[in-house]
Amino acid sequence: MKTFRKKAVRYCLAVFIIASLNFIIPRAMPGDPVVNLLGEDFSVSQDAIEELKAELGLDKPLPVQYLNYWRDILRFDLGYSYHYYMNVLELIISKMKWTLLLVAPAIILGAVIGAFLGSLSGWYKNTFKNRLSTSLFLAVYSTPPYFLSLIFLYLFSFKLDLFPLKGFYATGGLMDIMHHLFLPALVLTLFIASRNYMIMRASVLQEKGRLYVEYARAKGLLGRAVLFRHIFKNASLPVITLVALDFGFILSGALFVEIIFSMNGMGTLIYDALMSRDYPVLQGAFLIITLMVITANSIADLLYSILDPRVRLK
Amino acid sequence: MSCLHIKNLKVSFSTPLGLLKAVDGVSLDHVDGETLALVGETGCGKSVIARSVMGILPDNAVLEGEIYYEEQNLLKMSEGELAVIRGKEIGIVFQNPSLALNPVHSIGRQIAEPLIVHDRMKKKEALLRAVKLLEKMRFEEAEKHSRMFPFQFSGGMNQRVLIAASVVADPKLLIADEPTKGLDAALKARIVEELEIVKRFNGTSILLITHDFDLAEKLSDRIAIMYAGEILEISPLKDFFSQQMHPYSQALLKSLPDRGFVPIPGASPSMLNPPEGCKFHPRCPFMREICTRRRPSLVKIGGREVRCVIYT
Repeated sequence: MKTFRKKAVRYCLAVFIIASLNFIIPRAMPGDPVVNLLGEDFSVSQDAIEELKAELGLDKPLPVQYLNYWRDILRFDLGYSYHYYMNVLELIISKMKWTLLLVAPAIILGAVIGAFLGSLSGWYKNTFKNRLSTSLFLAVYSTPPYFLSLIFLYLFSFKLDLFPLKGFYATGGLMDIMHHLFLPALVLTLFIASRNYMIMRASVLQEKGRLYVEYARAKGLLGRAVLFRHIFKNASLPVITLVALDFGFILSGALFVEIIFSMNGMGTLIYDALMSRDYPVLQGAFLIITLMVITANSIADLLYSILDPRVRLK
Repeated sequence: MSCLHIKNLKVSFSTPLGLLKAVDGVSLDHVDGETLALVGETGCGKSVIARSVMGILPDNAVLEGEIYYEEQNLLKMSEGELAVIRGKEIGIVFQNPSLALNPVHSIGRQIAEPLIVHDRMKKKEALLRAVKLLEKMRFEEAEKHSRMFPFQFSGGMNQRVLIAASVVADPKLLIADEPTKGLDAALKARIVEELEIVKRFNGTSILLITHDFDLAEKLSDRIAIMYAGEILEISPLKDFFSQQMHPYSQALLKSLPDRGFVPIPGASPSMLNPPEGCKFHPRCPFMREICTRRRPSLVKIGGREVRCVIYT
């Protein structure tokens, strides 16, 4: 319990620092904040700029701005996008829904498939089947997800016409959405599974030589029972760490996949915001993704303590 | 009746440096209910014999000979047939208890496991049996201890847990591989006590593998001396301590701190290319010319067996 509290404090500190950076960076950037805010293609009169500055509180001294910044965050107010004419938080939530629909199943499936197949491959190291699956996963592992997306899009959508070319949906409805999601979710799942596969395989290979494995056999456990009753839990600990650490990476991977499949989610939102220098949206997305990565890490901590008594009881 | 009968066992490991002969023609007859101590220096092949009986040698091991357990040749058995015997008929206690226990499973679960695997017992019932066994082995808070984990225990406690897990399914034979290695005198006494409980309550035969004469003297009925993969002498305990037959046995006892502290000259031979003839001849004070050429065979004298040209 004590370590849990310690960790909670550490996570809060991380959020605080990152949010503060989020405050400092746009203010440290060269150029006029209002011009940055509106984008360079807007031309506004000097009076209007001053008026906007006063309205946004940018004419106040920095410490006051900083306090106001926190006040806004605590009110869930992430500002207003002048490109979308929309509240930033609402905008992000409307896009994040779709991205999570794509990413969440991929993370879960990728973790389960990767851990399961990886452990089998580590256990039966030298069989033909496992050499084959290891080569396949290695190929996926070393291919950037956007490239894999392009290949899949070309092959399955363009050439074979099995899946739609773009978007999250055409007509709406569950089947339609699943049909659209299948290919990009498959790419992401394969990508995540391949990373977990490699880690799990190495982990099982390492655990396999330990004395407790020999003792499990000496107790009368046979073959795969040794793997799943004794090794799996020990070997899966690094995978949990990897999934948590990978979370940000996975989101950025999803970004490319979304863009290639022309899906209107977080990836496209961030990409467009980047292209048009929509700072309120970028800042908001940065903050939300940070919070998600930290949440993922705390979930990993929790899982770790459930699986490993050495973490739980120390 | 003998429960374990080893006949001309040869175990070698193929290594990059060549064939390493760890066990070179060992024959043993383990009588039902007795405790046989296999004593020798580190690296003489004692543990390899233990692992050969359990069938858990590494992949590069080459085995020859026969190991009979109740008339069945273990070396001819499939992995599946062996699994039925391991943990149920023959139990083993390893020398590194803290590494032999699974770090993420509770003590109770690890002790109960053989019951679940072999007797298809319900988990709850098996855990209850585990607690009862811990009580029998004089754990002060058996119930609480069964819910703890190996990292919360000392090495000595883990060794006692390991013994419990190895005897819970009531095996006929227990192989104890250096059960007191690295333990202080008080803990050693607990282990001896625990093994005696096992012997008394279950009538378990024990193959005690050790380099500790003290332990062998306390627990065993017979003693076998191993050197460089061979058995040089097998004697009933009393006879052995009153008079050792083989020159190596004599030298080994004399090298103990409380029996003279006289080191044996020379070093243990390499297992990659052991000496011709009697393997002990380069270090033997009674060496004759014939010892360098001919390997003596194990000869029976009374109730004892010895491998030395002096007795032929």
